[in-house]
Amino acid sequence: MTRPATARARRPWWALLAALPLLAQARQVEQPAGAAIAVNGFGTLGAVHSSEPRADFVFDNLQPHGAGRSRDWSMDTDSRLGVQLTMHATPQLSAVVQVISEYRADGSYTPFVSWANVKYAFTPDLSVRVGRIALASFLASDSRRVGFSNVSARPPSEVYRLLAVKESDGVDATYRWHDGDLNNSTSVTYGRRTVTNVAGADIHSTRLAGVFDTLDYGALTVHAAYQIRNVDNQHPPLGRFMSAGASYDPGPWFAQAEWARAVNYTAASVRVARAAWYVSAGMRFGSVAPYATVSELRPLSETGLAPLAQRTYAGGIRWDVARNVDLKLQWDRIALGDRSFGTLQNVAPGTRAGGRLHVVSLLADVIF
Amino acid sequence: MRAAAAVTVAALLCCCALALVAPAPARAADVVVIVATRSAVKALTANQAADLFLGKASDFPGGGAATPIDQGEGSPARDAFYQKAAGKAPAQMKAYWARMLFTGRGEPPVESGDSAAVKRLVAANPGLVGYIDKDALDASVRVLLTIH
Repeated sequence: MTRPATARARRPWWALLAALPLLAQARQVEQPAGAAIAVNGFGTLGAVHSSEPRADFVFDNLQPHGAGRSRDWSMDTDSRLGVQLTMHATPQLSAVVQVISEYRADGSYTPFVSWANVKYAFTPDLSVRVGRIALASFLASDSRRVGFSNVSARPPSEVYRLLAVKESDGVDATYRWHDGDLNNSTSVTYGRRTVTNVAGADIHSTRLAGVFDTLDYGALTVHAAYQIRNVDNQHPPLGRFMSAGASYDPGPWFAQAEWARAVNYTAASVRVARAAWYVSAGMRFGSVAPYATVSELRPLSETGLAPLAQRTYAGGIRWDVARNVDLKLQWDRIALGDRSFGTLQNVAPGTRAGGRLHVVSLLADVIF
Repeated sequence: MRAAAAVTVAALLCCCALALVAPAPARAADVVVIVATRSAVKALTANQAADLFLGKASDFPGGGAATPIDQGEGSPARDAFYQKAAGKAPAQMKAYWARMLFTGRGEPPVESGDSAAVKRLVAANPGLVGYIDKDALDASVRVLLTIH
């Protein structure tokens, strides 16, 4: 008879720790304005195989090696871990720091600060941020590293590689308005950012200015972006970028399309204009979502250099195995343009341009 | 081109097979969206409720700051509320908040327990808005919306 009581009395002191989050949450609700720190994270463990043994398939052009030539199966292409700290000092003042470890241009996984900014909300609909800020250049640009928030294995690289600058150190202002079911959010940004490429060179983007707009109407999201910047390895040192996209997600099915155009110059004053687009659609059957994507990257200007051209047909399945975990299986058939190695990296000397390859990706995404 | 089509069809077939073995969602009871009886707010549409809980709006229609509170993860009332008010399944909601959170655009409502706990908190705080099982409803709170 006394055993249960004894057992209860002997419950270790650290068992109380389990109750602390509940207390903290209850206090937050009683005083929603109170100070709070939230720690969240995301991660992806991925393995990618490419059928092309003389070049590497990569996530973006900042990865020196990938699947194909360097490795039969590459774990580097998609695997990453991110941790984010969100702090609320007052209802108006908050701060966010995000640190990511992923395969970088120098071949290391050295963690780096992807964002660190302080936000002040003058009203619930008008806010200003100062610090390192994610650029909303694409529909999914600021969440492209959070695999769990995307349906496919990775955003189509034809489109998303058009811009290597993902964050900006500076300031931005966001204004949102509502009209019935219509929500619109407009941001302007100004800042600078240095990106180290796979050759080890620091590319400095300065006077980076952009305007971004996102409109939500029920299941429809429409996004547009325009950005200009000074780039120190170009002549003239001007980079221009624009994009437009829309997604429709009523639940049982979803579709998304995006178009982007980038104009840059080489150091020898050759104008390089590129356009890219993708169309993606899928369906949800309970926790399983099959999807298919077509994406294309093509040059808009004759540069005399090897063109960056390719088209990909991709099909895959996302399976939400738990509330915080998904598994993805994706197959990509990549057709390289004539005289082009497309987005392939680390191409072996003497490799014939053009042709096609197949890529298989197995991923697990988690958020916590 | 043909290989692409073949694989897409194969993928779709696999998914259909998986969907058949996936458990059917439990039949959910009616859910009611509630505020304190002291609140000035009288009614909400399903879209307005969804906007508050998805962080797309921070004020009640007609004014006054609104703080939504969620039930715990896996609660049938929570799943039913988001499915019917926002058209989003639990996995979609999780992906939605991942996108919002990891872009610094917003954070999910604080989780505040079951229907009884949410009702108690809402009754005591005019700024809060919650949703509970209709079966748990009593005179301590005001119903803004009933979701069937």
